[in-house]
Amino acid sequence: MKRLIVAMLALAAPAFAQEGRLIATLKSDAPLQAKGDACRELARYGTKAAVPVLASLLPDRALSHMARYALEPIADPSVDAALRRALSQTNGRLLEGVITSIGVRKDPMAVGSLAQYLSSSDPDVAQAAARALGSIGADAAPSLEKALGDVAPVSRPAVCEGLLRCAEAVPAARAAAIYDRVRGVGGVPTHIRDAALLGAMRSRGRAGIPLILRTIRTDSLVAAAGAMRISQGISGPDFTRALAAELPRAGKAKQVLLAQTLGNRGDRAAATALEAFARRGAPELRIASIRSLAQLGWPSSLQILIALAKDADAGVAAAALIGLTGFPDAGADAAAMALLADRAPATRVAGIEMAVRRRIALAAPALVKAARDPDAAVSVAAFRALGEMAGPSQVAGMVAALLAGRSVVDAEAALLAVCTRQSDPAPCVAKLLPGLSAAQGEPRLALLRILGALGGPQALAAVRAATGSSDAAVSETATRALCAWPTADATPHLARLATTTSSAKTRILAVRGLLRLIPTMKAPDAAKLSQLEQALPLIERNEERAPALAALGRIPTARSLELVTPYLTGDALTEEAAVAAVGIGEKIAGASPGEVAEAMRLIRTSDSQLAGRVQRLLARVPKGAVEAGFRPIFNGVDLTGWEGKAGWWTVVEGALTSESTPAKPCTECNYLMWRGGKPANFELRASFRLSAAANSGIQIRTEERPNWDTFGYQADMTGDGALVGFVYHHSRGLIAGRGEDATFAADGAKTVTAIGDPATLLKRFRQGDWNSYRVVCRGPEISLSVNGFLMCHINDRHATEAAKSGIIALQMHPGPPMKVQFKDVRIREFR
Amino acid sequence: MTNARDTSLTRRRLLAQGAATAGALSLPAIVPASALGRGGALAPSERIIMAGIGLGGRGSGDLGWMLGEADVRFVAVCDVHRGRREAAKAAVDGAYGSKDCAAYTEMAQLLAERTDVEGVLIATGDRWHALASVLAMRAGKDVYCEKPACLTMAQGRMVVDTARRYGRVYQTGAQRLSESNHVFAIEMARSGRLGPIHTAYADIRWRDGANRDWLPAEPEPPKSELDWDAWIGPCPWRPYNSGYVNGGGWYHQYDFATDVAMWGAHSVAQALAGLDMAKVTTIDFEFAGPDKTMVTRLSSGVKLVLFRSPGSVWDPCKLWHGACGERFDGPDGWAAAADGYAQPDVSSPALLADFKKVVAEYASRTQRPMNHVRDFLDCIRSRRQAVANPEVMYRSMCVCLAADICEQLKRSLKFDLRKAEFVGDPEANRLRSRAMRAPYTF
Repeated sequence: MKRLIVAMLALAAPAFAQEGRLIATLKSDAPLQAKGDACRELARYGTKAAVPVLASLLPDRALSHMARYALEPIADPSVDAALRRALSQTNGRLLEGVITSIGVRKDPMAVGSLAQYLSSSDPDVAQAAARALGSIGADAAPSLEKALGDVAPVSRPAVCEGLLRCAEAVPAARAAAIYDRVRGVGGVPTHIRDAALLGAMRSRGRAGIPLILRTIRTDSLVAAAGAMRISQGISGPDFTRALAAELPRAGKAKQVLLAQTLGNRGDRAAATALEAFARRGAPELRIASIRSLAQLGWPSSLQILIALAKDADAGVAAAALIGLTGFPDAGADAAAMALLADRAPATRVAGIEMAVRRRIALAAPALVKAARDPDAAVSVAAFRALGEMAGPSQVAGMVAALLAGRSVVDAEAALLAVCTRQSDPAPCVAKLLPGLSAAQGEPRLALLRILGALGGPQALAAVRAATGSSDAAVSETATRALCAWPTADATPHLARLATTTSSAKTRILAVRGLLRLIPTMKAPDAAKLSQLEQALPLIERNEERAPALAALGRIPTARSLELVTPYLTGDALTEEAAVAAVGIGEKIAGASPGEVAEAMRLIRTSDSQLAGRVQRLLARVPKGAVEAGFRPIFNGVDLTGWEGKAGWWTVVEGALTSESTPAKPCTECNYLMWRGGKPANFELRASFRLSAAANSGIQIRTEERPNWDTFGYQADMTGDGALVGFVYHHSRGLIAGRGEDATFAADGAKTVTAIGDPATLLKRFRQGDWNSYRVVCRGPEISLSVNGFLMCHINDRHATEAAKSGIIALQMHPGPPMKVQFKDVRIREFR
Repeated sequence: MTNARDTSLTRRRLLAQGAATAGALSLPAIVPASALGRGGALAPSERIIMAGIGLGGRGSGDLGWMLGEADVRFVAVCDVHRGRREAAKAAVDGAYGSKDCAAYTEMAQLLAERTDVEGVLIATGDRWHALASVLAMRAGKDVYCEKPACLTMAQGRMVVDTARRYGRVYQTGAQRLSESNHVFAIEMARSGRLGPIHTAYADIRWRDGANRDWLPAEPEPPKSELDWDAWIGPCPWRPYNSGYVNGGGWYHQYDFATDVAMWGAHSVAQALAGLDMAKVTTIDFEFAGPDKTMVTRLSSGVKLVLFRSPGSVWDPCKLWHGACGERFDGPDGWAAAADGYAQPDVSSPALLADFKKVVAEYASRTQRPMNHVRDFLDCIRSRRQAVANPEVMYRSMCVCLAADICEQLKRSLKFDLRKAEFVGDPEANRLRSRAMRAPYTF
């Protein structure tokens, strides 16, 4: 305890000091805002000490309110004295404020002074005084009662408000007298008289019953409704019956309110009375009675509601149905079953709706039966209900109904919903398959779609079999189901489909399926990648390249990173490629730091989060890990390992160099041959610099021809950049342009898709300066990048012209005087 | 709340309600409108006569919602801001294809003159909510008022007292209490399907009303454009700056708004609706640090967690993937709802199977439409208490404002819910009211 007091003193001490500062602020010539802030603080912890200065501000036009703001919560009686004193020091708004604060503080000593203001010539002041007196309560009531007759009409509502406030603070008998006084006064608006009437009834308890009944019988709807609300506080069946007795003789609107009032009473007597009104009479009253019966929820009301659910009056029938649907007693379930078996289709639909809303499990067999109902609306409703509620045991029945050709669309949706809801769909599939062999037409197609969505070996076998159907619709539906198969077991079938189909549309669907499923296979990454690499050549459009990149991103190997890398610097799909590359990189940075670092440096992304991941990844990779696997094929000093036409190739500034001049023109092509082998699958990198008029190139997979000539693919280049990023071929010419992806079929047919804008890509080339070329050859594919940006790609399956391997050589071209240079030439061969 | 924050939710909410209504069987109106009318006299039409007060921002959404109800007729609007007044009038006139909507600058004049008006929609800035509600009810109008309904507990109490005193219908704009996803979560808790609830959660991730600085003074616009004194209303005076008025800038300001309670008013009412509050006497608020989740312990043993996490209220967090959520945890599972949900979140899908049943039983037991505005309009006719009636409003705002005070004082507090006072903390109790500036007083 002692410790607590010490703690409290510790808390109080700074507050004390703070209060002193605040008081000083108020006494100073501080600006208005600072003084207002001080008052706001004093409202929290100001004491008696602050009262004098605050009191002095009450007549201050700018600070009177804030002074009240601080004073109102200070408990000390000196505040009340100060406020009373301020009454004579203020007028207008400020006086109104002071009076209000006295009311808030309920100061009984102010009653005499405030009463004088009731006759103020300023109506705002008079009304504020009336309300403040009301807040003070019992002590103020006589002066308000006295003023009620005298006060100016404009202020009479405020005096009434004051009296109503008083009445709420005094014992019931005194309150009743005050209320009676107010409702007896003339010349006040009806709503105030109503308020007094409400109080008069409320304050009397059971003794107020006659007044309640009289009010219901004779008075305005608002007052009568108030009487009914008050009646709810008085329990007992006798009073219930008395209220019910008012109903037949009441006006239409009051009848409805009385029916609601009876519903709120909750007793049996209310239900008994309402049942009669539900059966016959004006529709409004019947509906209100039905709603109240449902609210009361006595089981004995069920039979009436069931009967009314088929009433000729649509509103009545709807109310009964809604009432039954939400009826709190389980007996309403039986009502739903009865409606389900009704002769009228609309009633059967209503029964189905009820069964769903009440979630009646026992209704499932009846719903299966209703699914075969000859009435289409019933059948549709039943299937929808089954879709929400049915379990595996209803599937066979639902299939039978589907086969009957009823509401196929809804049947399919329902079966799908039921089957997919199960944790193991296999038992459902087993029940669908017999149906499939029996079904024809639309139901057969529906079953194929459902099986496709469910998956599993049995379904797969059935759907695969159907792809071979002679019925075109069946075969197409089955094929689509196969391409959309949810699980990876369809992959081999899709791979076969993709390569064998003659339909471009089917191939696209199959490829998309493969791209979706291959990453989900339960297989080593190498196996997935191998599958994926078989699918990649089938891709012809960016629409499939994007998911292909995503699929690669899910297979974390160095090879998949390599496949993604060219797209990092293309014009389209760079973001997709970046996401994939980062995803792979984060998993393989330890094993292949060089490849990862290199790929990360190529990423240009507008996604700041992704950029952050790139930076973190680069930080993880040790410096110098770049270019793992490459070996230099030019030593930077002399022509060791290379051979060319005498007099045309030297090493200058550490670069392989060839130059023609007016004095020494070049009249026919010659090539500097690398004697290190005939690589097939490899990546070659080199830096090159060209004079403005130069034309040159890097030969790859090339045949050597006599007289220092060659034949084959060339990574082309010209000093003005015009041919940079092109693949040239000696017999076929420029086979891929900058920004192109060119595919050659076995018969030489060429298809081209754009992978970038040639003009934009040209800007990556720096005229007259060193640039880097990167040539990747793998299988039928060759890609060229300049300064890290993908320029073109070819997929060459030409039967006679496509070379799988060959020498590497550098070109010196005839023409005007020119200079060509190459350095940092290195290669990495793929195993 | 009357600013842009909630309007982005409006369209989605309306769509959701449209979908919910379309699927349900619908009932004819229960009381013919002609039965109402001022003082029992028949109204000139079959419609409920309404007026709107302060209809910028959020209010324009509410107005659109009400204009869509066939049995409503707006006859007047009121705003101290000329632009908003004219926009509201244009919206009403546009909806009715007429030019009849009266435009008032002063609320007192509207309330005194328009005895034909039965109900008012109040969507002023938060600082005016309670006062406007009280003045309207005292003038015999029924009230639909946006949330938060009051800046202080004292103001909330006055709303409760006035509604009871005059027998008025009052609905606070806690519209989620009428949305089926929230109703489901609440009923799952109430009905015992989750077992005895041990923890409830309410989303209070947004707080933004603690600023006490003044913006630089700007020349006051002419009264015909904006009545600055009336705009401030019951709050401490300060020089004009357009930043308070435009874009909802006022809601950063302590003097004009609430802090934690502003967002709490979006979720706490739902959380309390799912709990058995009848036996709750006190609530312990545990202050864990500024902007931290605030655990409160109800005397019934239930933990009510006022949840916070960094980021926007619309970001997914560990409890919800939408704003304004509540969640109830019991031994047999949990259920949660928040804005933008296609369906409630539950601990196991089996709980959701009863969705329609739970909602239908709720509708039957309470006879409520799943449409907050419709509930208010029905209650104008039936004179029933609305679903978000003054007691519901007051209890939830007391919890919200107690959290506000806890945050201001930076200490744990014990709150007596029945007396609406803190136990043994006079300083906290002094923050339960703020003196109102004359003539804008109760």
